Amino acid sequence: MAGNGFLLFDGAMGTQLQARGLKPGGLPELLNLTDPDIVCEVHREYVKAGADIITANTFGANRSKLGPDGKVSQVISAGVRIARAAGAPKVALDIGPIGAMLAPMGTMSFSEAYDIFKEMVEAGRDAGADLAIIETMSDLLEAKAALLAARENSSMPVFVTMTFAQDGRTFLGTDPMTAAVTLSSMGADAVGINCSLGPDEIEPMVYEMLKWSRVPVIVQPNAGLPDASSGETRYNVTPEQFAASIGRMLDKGVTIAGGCCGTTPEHIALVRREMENRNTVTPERKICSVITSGQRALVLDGGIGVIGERINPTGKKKIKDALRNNNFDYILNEAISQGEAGADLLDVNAGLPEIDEAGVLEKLVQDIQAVSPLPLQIDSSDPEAIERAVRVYCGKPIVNSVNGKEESLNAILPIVWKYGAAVVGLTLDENGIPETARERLEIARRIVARAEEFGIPREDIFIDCLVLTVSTNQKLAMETLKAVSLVRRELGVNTVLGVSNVSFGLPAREIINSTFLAAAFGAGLTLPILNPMSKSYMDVVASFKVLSGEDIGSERFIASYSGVEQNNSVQSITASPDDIPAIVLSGRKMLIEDAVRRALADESPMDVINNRLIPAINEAGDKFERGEFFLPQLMSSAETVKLGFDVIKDAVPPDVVLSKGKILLATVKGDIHDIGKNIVKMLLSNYGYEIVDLGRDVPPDVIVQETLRQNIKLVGLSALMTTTVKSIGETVSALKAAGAECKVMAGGAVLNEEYAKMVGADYYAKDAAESARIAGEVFGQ
Amino acid sequence: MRDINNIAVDKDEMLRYLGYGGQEITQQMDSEINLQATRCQELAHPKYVYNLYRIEVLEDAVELRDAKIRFRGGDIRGHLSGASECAVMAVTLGMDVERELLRLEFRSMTQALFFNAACTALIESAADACEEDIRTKAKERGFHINFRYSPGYGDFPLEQQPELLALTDAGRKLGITLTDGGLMVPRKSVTAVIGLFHQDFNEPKPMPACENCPRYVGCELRKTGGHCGR
Repeated sequence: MAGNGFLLFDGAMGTQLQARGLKPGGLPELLNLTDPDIVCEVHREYVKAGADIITANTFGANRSKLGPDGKVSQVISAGVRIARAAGAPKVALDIGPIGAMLAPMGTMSFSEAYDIFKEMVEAGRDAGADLAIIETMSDLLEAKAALLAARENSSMPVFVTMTFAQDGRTFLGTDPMTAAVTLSSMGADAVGINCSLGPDEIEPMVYEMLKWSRVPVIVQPNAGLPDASSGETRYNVTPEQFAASIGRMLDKGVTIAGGCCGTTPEHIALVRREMENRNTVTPERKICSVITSGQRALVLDGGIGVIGERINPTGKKKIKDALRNNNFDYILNEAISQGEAGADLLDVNAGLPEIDEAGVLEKLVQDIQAVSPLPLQIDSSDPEAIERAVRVYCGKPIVNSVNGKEESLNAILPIVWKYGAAVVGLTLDENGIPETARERLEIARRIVARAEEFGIPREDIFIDCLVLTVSTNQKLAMETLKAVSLVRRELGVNTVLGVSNVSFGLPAREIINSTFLAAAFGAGLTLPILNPMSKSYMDVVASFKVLSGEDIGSERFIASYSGVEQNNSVQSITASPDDIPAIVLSGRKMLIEDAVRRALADESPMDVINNRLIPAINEAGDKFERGEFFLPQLMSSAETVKLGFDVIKDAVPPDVVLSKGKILLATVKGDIHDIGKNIVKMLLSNYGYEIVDLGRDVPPDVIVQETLRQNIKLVGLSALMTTTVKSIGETVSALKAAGAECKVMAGGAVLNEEYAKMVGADYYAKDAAESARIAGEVFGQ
Repeated sequence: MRDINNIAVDKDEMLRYLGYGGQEITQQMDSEINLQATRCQELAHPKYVYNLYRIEVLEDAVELRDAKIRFRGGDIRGHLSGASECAVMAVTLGMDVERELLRLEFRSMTQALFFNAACTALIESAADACEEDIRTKAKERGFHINFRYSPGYGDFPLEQQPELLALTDAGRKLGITLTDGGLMVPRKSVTAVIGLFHQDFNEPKPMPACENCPRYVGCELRKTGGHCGR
């Protein structure tokens, strides 16, 4: 080893191979089989330069690039062997990104990615690699999949590096702090930065990592920014400059270094000299609670973090329906709205007895992360549901919850430790919830001790002292607050409370909750679980942050509240039912709800739909047909009608059926362009149809299965690309083969009447308005 | 790799993608258009990268002499016939607009439509900026160029998309990824091939007329009486 506790990696492989005449475009990993001598020669140069660890030529040796026929293990074992033959003191299995985006932003599932990495890890392990380096990652979730694959299938140490652009974020928006917190919490043996930019550009990012990483930090910069102005790419940081920059980073606490694109054996030799001339430095690390998503790190260092409570089926019919029907649109909107209202984190609970909670929670977490950057709190009492959700979660989540019961401690804490999550401990045990604050403190103390035994650091443990209903036992509210301050003072951990429980059974619950919230803040509550859409609660939060000094200089408070009149008179907006056509055509969304409410006073829900809303949207459709409206105008009218529909749905009893029939929509397998399908969905929902939206890249068997299961009479399929239109044909054939008694309408930019018929569709929907006419025909209206 | 910081959303183009045909635009809608155009500009990080390759036009394909790759199909062959080099380019707006588009489709389809159109206008402008860069550099060396041609057009197979990304190193430099079916994520990305023709020998062929376009049949612009202007 380079001595003094440092580890020296080698430098670039790709640019060295190109210097030896490798043509671009091919897979450089195949050289392990075709030209092992060239690869070995590059390795040998780096061994000569003093590298401790030689990175095997296996970066892209994955199934997705090499194919499924066993080539992966062949290329990887050759790669490890060549590195060994070059005299490498230690050989690292190199694992690069797959080159496909994970769902839901892309189409590759987490488990597919995991399997691809697993195959690489097994091959490297069997070939005798000493460690694995997962590198050049842009997607924190992909890095997580690779890290899990390495940890679960080998005992090799695992280093993980990500690559950042000049704005200090990866292509997917992860910053160095978020990467360091998430990956080091998950048990990477070193985390760091590679590739990206030159050493000087990444220096500040490296310091961020040193501050937040729990494990050693590794740095492998490029030899500067590539300069392509001369026609070929050149890197222009000299070995001397490179080594000097790395030297500065070693003085701040970096202990593992090497080079990426454009670096040469000379660069590495000079870095070795820097290592030999100094001793390792212990970095100055910041220790406090940090929760992350892929795009955000939330630091809880004495301040308040608001956890939005809305995504929970308890007492919420719409959420129950959404979970039962696997139709998450409503929930995703709740997620976005809570973020806009100021929530810092979102609690996600899918606990309904009649559903497959683990499966639903896993999907829900992924879908929420596609539309909201907020870190999540995974809320379940089922260990399997918790594990499946935290496994696919991008970032470091909170697990809600463990409690003082042995069974719970033993089931939940290993999951929390394995995935590097934070955890909420509830102060209850086999004997229930103790009455006194002292007894709750003792349970909290036990939970903290047990979690620490599992290796979960104290800053990742939060305690919920449990709020009970004040109307049934008036003494207990103050006892909870006492427990909060005891826990905060004696254990020094963050505290969680589900605030709104306190007011069950009382009128004007917001008033009680707000007062209790303020008192709880005073007692030391840091993580309230509440409804962020309630202005009163958020007022308490904002004002307490002023009083506690968290809102420095009251800046945020002044920015939000100055100019706000202290009177509550809201100018009421009124509209008559007869205005509905004009309101819809002009898309004035704030008027429609009032107009529909007034109409409902005298007319039945069905009459309002059939005599008022549908004629209005028909008129908008006609205008679109005549060219008097263009598409956004039609959509704006459709959204207005949809708001009217929502008012009606809220007003009718749950047993009244408003649906005129179910229509299944999907963008077919292979295609991810779904905006057209979503336009159709919006318009059809205006006519009272219930839409089953299967999303995009949907395989034929899933469409068949849902069509049969839900007895669908009309299926709408879309594809944008010429290459994916054939998927429509395959889906239609599969539907027919399965004996589905449904009509199929097809749409998409490259389709036409003739082509739609050719692939077997019953109808060609040239636009959204046409799809509404087709639906009318199929459902006989 | 180049960042493009100085391009704005062309609002006329944006409306053209939405099939705008002179309908009256209310003040509310006008402010929505401006809002989404601005939002697109804030969230987009337009970047491009390209590399030049010497080529040999074979009977049924085009061979890249400095890389182990052949472009297949009669259309790309026609596109490059007479050229001595080609530029392989990749352009993207990045993941932030991708994410915003996904979010807006849950929030409001009207907003999503405007945002999507703004992004389409911007990625085209970004591709134009890349093409302009290629043109300027080519001119200095005594070449003129034709226009950009992408996999998926005509019989230039989408299956070659991985090779175009490899030729530009666009995965690492721009963060472009591919689905199994060869579609790019972020969706607002473009890859293309442009021919470089020696000034003394060959005139590049002009853009084919509308009827010769491989997208003629399904073209939304043509259906609504529009024209992509090329």
